[in-house]
Amino acid sequence: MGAHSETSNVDDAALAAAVSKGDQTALEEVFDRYGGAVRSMALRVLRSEALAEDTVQEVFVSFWNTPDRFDPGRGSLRTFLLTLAHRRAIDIVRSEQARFNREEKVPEDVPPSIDDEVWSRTVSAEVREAVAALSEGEREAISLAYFGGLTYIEVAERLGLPEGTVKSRIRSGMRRLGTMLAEVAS
Amino acid sequence: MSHSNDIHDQLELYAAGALDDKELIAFDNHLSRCALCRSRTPALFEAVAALIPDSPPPDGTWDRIVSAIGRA
Repeated sequence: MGAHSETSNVDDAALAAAVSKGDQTALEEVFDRYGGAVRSMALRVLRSEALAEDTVQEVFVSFWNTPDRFDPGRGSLRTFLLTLAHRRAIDIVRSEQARFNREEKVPEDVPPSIDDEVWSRTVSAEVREAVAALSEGEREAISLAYFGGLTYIEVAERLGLPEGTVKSRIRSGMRRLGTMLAEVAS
Repeated sequence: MSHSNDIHDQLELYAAGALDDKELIAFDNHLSRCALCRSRTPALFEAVAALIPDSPPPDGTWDRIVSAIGRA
């Protein structure tokens, strides 16, 4: 929980620049800011505390080793780290080994979908509003893909829908989320 | 420089994590060549990242990170 008096008021771009110069205190501040969200992302996809913790470690070690992969001109540091976490979690979930492991325990605090009650109490009004603006079908398809790690083909199989329908639901839902939330995201 | 419409149409599927591994690699390659898709990607990534709420960092993980990066 370290309160780093010299880094706690620094903005993300400056923190990332410090990390790229090998400043470990800056990395710890980034961890304090976004480690929880990175863990939540991994947990939502992986549904295993142990695998989520491994993923958090991998994300921050990866950022430490290759900090220049973060380009402040292309989005926030938070989103960069969450995108790394998401991609890694999807890799794990799609590996056969994880399919086996993830069934052993599902933490109770993991909401299954983006319109879950627990989830809706923890996100901002803007996010709730954007999710509410999606159709049920868009919400379902995006949840299964983004948090379930399913490809659009697998989503189509799961829901018994044509692939084209699933593709267009994901596309229209993502466009709406992008329009409504891109400004909101930190 | 000529792209089929199909690959551009995969942008939202890419950001939603809905492409299979082969398609994902193909789209990564596409992104490195297509300024239009590259310019549209950040808003979609920001939007899905906004779906994840902030929370306190996990206990114990920082120590593991420090060990992994090899500096105490």
